[in-house]
Amino acid sequence: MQFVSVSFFNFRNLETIKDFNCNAEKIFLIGNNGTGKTNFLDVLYTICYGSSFKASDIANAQHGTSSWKISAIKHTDKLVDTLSVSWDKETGKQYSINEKKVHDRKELIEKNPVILFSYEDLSFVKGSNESRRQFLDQTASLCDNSYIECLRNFKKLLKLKNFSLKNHTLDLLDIYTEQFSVYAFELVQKRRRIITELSQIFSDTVFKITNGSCKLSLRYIPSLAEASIDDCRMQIKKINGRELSAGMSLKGPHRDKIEFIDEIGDFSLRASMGQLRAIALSMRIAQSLIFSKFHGTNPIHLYDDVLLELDYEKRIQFIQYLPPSSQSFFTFLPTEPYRDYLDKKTMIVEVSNGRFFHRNSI
Amino acid sequence: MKTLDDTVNLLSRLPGIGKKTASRMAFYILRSNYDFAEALAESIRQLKSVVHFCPECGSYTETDPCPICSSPLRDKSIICVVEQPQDVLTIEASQEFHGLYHVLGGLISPLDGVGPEALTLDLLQKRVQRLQVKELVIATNPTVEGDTTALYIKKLFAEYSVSVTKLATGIPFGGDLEYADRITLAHSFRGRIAL
Ligand SMILES: [Zn+2]
Repeated sequence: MQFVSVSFFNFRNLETIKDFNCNAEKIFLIGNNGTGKTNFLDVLYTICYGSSFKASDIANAQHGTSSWKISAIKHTDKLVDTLSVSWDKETGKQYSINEKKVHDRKELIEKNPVILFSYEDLSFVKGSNESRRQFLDQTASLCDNSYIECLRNFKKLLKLKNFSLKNHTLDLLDIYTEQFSVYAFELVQKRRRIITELSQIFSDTVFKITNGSCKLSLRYIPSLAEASIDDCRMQIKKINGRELSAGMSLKGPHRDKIEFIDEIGDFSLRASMGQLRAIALSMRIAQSLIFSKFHGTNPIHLYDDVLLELDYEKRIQFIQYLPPSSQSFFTFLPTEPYRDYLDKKTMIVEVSNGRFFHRNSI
Repeated sequence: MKTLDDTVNLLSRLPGIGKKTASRMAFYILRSNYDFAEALAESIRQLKSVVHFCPECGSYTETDPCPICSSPLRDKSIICVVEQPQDVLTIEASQEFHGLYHVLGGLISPLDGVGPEALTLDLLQKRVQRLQVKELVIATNPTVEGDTTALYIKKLFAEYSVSVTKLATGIPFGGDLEYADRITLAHSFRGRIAL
């Protein structure tokens, strides 16, 4: 799939524009910080998934306005679709494909695959277990269309079970533990499967990107590793007293861990900043490759200032190992040597003050 | 015009009716003859004053008890437990079930402030004892709340000599009884499974 044009109205600092042409395989957005490059990427991201990677619905509205709308025309093989997202203070957010309302965001993820490479990616390498789980959930949702439903039900039951634990409603706690075990078990099975696939691709990628200096794989450490639903339930019942006094669930997929390991153990604790970056990039690349493998089509890529942090040599290496995409958008500062990465299929767009101008390539 | 605006505002509160449709309806009523408007108003008033919950099963009825509860042809040893009165109509339309019904009036959902005590479960316990019911078929929607409620009922009747079953799957998880087609429902009833 490929975006051929984008429109936005009242969206952050972007000047309202209709049908801005972006019909190219590679698009370079060149501009200084704060001009609207990342906001442009976020328009595409929001159109694909229904929610922004940067801000809340209300914060997306331009100063002094109470509604916004963004839309894009997309080609997939011979099909032409118009995707649009609009938000109004009164009526909330609406998502539609060809003017038909979409009720569940779940429907979008497979149809409009997009992978975002961003500076913030460092957070799931360096940061909390929660951000690593989020990355895993995102990857699994891209590959397994029953994953989101399972995750939603699990999260709901976690809330309900915690509510019972806090309020000591013991008759319901028993039932929620039973239902919790069903989804916890299913979620762990699904996560295990996806990590096995992901680890393989990740190992190869990080090895290549670091010129063979990082030999890493992924280790999944589920908090409930039992072999059946019944075993999960027994395990939870065993710690019932502790959970009641804590007022929350102490075991389950919400406590799962994922580690980047070498022969010694968790590597992220010993890695240099450059290595952490290489791991983050490799994880995104793996996410894209695993999508292509499962669906037989390539996602759209958004690269937000990712090259900026790498030295010149690493950049060239990174560009060499970019996974296949159906269309890629890159942001660059005017001072970056972006001309070195151009090819015939590249469209150059200059960004200044929330306005966009086409420039002839090369 | 205040009177017209009031009508439009009231009509647009109906499910699936926006402002546009509501004003089209209001103008239609204005154009039509007086008898129609009178009949419409009267039938809405009657609906609220005549139709009420059956004291036995909790479904909507005009008579006490409802035609299903008072029918000598219905099998009184089996009760199908549903969430809301509309579900009775859906299952009746499938013509697959010949027992009695029991409407819970909701599903257990503590986060929304609905605990088990908010449902008509004490009434159900009394009916099961009085009618010597042999089987309870739980037909709640296959959602987290529907399953919670089904499991709660199973526990509630653990000491009774009544078997608790639920509809076989066929209704997709997260789906709605209301939208299940007749054939799916028929399959679900024939292949009920013990809870
Ligand atoms: Zn009745």
